[in-house]
Amino acid sequence: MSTEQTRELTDRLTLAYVAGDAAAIAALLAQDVVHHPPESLGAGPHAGRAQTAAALALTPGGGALQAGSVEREVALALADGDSALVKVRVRARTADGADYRNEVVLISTWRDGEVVRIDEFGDTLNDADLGVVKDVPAWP
Amino acid sequence: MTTDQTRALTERLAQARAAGDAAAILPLLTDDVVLVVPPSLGETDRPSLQASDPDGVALGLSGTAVHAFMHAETIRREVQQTLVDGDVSVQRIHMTGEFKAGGRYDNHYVWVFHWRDGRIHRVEEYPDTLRYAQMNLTRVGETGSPTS
Repeated sequence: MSTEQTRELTDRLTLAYVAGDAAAIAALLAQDVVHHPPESLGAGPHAGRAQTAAALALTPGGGALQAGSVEREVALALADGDSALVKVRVRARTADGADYRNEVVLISTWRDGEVVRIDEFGDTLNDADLGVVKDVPAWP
Repeated sequence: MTTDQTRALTERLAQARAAGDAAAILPLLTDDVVLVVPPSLGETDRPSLQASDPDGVALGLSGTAVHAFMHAETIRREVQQTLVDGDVSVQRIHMTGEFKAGGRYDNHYVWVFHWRDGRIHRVEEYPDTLRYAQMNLTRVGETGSPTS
């Protein structure tokens, strides 16, 4: 794919992600897509369109954040060939009423107009500190 | 800067980082360069992870600061993906190694480099920060604060 094709499709994916729209996200994913959330969370990788779309629509925190409080703002977007990066600033209220802020970085890899891989990064220690991640997996 | 210019300089930076060569990294940094780490790491006792002077940023990018607590010969940094677009470049890196005190280091990073006139003026580091707590380098609840 050309950089401009990737950029255009990534813009669509980002709009869907910012809106938390699982159906719109799923429409841009390949059937065999794999989503790699931060390994420390012990929650992935997610394989397949449905699992990946659901995970991205919930990110971050899932039910640990108050419904309707999540705001996402795109801070950086770039594309290179069949890969793209988006940095999104997230603000929300936790279930306990605390102010939640984080930055999520998504690196997507595309093939024939669909996402085949997403690598997700964020300040996971911040999530644990704020109780958004409650059960911290042991490692290794 | 053009994407091609940034790509060539990013490759030069990657070679210097792979060699752990802070002196080779330094000419690639502006005088006002900043290294930004996630907020949960901003109050630790490891100031080499966050710096606002060229020497400190060069040291941080060289990766040699970890030699204080890791066996240098065991450290591997695999560049898994590089993206370049205009005056921004990105590298996704998998780092592994062995602690001197025992145990294995294993973490994934994204580094975002913002270039201006052939030099980097801003570096953003995105590690999996909770991994530090899992490897007993910090603790949950010890340093966290919301992003400003």
